Amino acid sequence: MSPINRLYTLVFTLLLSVNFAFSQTEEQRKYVFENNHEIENFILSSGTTEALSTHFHSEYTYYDIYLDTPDFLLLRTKLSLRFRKRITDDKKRPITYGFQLKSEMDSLNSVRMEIEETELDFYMVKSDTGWVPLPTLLDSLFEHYDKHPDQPESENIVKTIQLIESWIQFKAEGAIAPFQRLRHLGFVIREIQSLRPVTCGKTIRRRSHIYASAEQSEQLNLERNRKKTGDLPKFFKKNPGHNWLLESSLDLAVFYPLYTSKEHVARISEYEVENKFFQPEIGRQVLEIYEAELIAKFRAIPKMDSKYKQAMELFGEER
Amino acid sequence: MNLKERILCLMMIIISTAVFSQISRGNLLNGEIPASIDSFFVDKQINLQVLRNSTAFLTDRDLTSYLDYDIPNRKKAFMRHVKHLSEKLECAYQDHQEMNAEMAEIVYEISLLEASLKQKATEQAQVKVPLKAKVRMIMDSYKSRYFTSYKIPPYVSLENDHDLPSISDSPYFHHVEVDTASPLHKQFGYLAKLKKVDAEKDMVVLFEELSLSGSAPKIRTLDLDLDNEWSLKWGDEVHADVVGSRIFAALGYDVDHPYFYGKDKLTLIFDENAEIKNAEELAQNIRQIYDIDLNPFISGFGLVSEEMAAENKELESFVGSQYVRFVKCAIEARPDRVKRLGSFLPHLPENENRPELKGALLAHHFIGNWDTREANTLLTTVHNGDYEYRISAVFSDLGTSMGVVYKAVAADFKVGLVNELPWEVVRRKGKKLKFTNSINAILPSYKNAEYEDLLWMAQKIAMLNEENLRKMIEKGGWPKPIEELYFHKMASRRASIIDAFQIDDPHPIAFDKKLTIYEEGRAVVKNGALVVDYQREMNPESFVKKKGRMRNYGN
Repeated sequence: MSPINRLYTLVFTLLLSVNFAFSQTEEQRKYVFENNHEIENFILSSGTTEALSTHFHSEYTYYDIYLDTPDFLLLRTKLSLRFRKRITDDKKRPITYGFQLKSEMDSLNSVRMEIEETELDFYMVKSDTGWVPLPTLLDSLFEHYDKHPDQPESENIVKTIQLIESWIQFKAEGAIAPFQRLRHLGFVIREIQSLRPVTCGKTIRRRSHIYASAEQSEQLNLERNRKKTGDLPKFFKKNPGHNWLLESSLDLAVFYPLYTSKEHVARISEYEVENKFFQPEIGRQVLEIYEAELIAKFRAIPKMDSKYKQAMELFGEER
Repeated sequence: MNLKERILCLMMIIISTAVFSQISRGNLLNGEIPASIDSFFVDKQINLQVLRNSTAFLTDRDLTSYLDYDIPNRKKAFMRHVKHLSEKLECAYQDHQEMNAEMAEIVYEISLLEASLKQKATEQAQVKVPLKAKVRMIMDSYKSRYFTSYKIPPYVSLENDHDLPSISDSPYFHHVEVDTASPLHKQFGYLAKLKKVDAEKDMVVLFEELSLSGSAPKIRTLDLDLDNEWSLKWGDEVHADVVGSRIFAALGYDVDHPYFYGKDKLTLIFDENAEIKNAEELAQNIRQIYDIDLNPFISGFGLVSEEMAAENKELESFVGSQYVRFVKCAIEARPDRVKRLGSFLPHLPENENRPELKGALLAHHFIGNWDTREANTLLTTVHNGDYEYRISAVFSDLGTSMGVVYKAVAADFKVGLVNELPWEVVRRKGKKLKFTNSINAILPSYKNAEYEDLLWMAQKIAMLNEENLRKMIEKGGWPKPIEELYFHKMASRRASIIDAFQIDDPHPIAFDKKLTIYEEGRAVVKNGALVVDYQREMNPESFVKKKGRMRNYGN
């Protein structure tokens, strides 16, 4: 068995066994559609299905940089690792930065491992001229690929990428949650240190709550979901009769490769639905109900690949 | 580090106090740089490997065991705090900075957090107190009667500040300003506010899970926001813990936040999906775990009615759910803003002679606390808001106080027995001070406490005035005659301390050792003693019977 295959086997054995016992996980389903306009109209108009209701509540803009090793070890081991900048349409909410490792969705189980370093603001990167906050470096890349995706990388951008890589090299053995998990999964320090940005992109995310009205809850025989007050969205505080069950995102994304690839742009459209019910098994049944309605109403096609995997395939990476 | 380097560092700490304003929790290192953090430095610079080993232990969720013990859950906010601290040191490493006071302070905090979490990992592996530890408690209880005797040094004078320990604010102690706008008895509430602890007058809590720890019956509950946990307790500590914690807070220590609730003032709601579904199941389980009959403590149970919801709006969404109410109980806050680790490590060499911990011995004596074990000390991180955290040492479980009896043979003890609380804490016999209180664990700082340390605390106790004392005792929720008797006893105990240490009393408080109180023509308190088993149906644990929790309070 080659070292890569050994790592692949180890990663999957761990992901499927002990790992979920102490991971943050999310249970989600993904869909693509033959006609994107239909689902877009449904989401933006807060449409209802027979069993459930939706409430379109916000539009987020995400900027992502995905990392991988020069030989795309993460892609091959069905993982993705990204820096993300989140901007919401609520001006009161601050812009946030995160660093997240995720597993690909498994065909038998829609639970994905995810582990995130949720706050990057206080991480500093040492440059020739002094200390630079990590988010400042990320912003330089996001801005470049958002505004000038076709222009060659300037000296400044090349330098920025080098600084991000230097941060990764220094922190590979540090207390950065995704690196801690990669080490646990069997990645050696040298492999983590070789991670570098491979694609940068922007996503417009339209977010909806999926809920059951009091009547719908009764028809589905659902008890009230239990959430900490701090975690309960405003909509449900204003409408205490509505029962929050799922959360959905309609994503329109564009990615650009940061390496020499066959294709130079990847456009992705997908609809993601996530279980929010406090009893995961019941939430899964609700997911099934909603999925059946999406298929019947919009000819939804279930999909498993992450945006990273989809983008890399569109760039021509065959793994 | 050699002695010269240590002294240099100490001087830097003193000079650069302003540096720590960003931490805003006082200084941990007040006397010297402890040898325990030497390994964090190599050639006077940060040893990255050692630092990362510690931060990994504190933040890596994939590390789940320590010496085969489960590592307690490390909460997100706690890990964030550790990462903030560690990043400062990693930047210093990359800058090749030589060790300075701020670095030493941060390194020491990380090492404390690590040691405390390890202590908790080993402690929580023991659900029951081992026999050896029980024997030790009894031995220490007897021994403490003899060691709590102090020779009065002839040279100590209150006029000479040099004779008193110099104590600055630290995570172990904060000076409380004596201020009419914020009197000492309000310090407990001030601390609670900082931690976002909000106890309602009529409290509704949701059953969360049974507790298996400790000897007093308790369960874990959640407030209706599901944000904060509350430990719900019954038995003989429900009054004493409330008062003891408030007195410690007024003296400058951080504490847990217990609140007393009288008849029907707290409603416990059961969820149909919870492990326990009604009052009957709760009583069965409490009997099984603690061997205590909860039924005498229950005042009502059944399904939440529309009428109940009309009286308390918080019950509106629980109409039809099972509930139970009590004749008396206490809840202790477990706020989301406070992350609890293990003990505050009284056995560390640098804590053995920490003057504020040595002085705490007199505070224990003042409230008549018996259970002074390490397990009742706690290291916490408190979220101040805006991602700012401070480390804080807490004196926890101060309820084994206010009149304690313990029986070695029956392996039982009872607290809150007003007649068992002596009128004096200390007597001056010639050139010696003799204390009346026993403690079940002589921690190093208590063993090392000297006259000067106790004198320092005596001065703090002297600052408590009549209003402070009365208000804090009122919060205990005792029936009025017993509350009044406690007030007189505590005033007398305060006076005994002031007399023994020959302090000019800034606020003399009158008390009557022959206090007599009549109710409906019958004396309930006579000549300074409770003479009836007061309203037993409302006080199932009894204020006079000596059978404690190990003997079901004689019920």
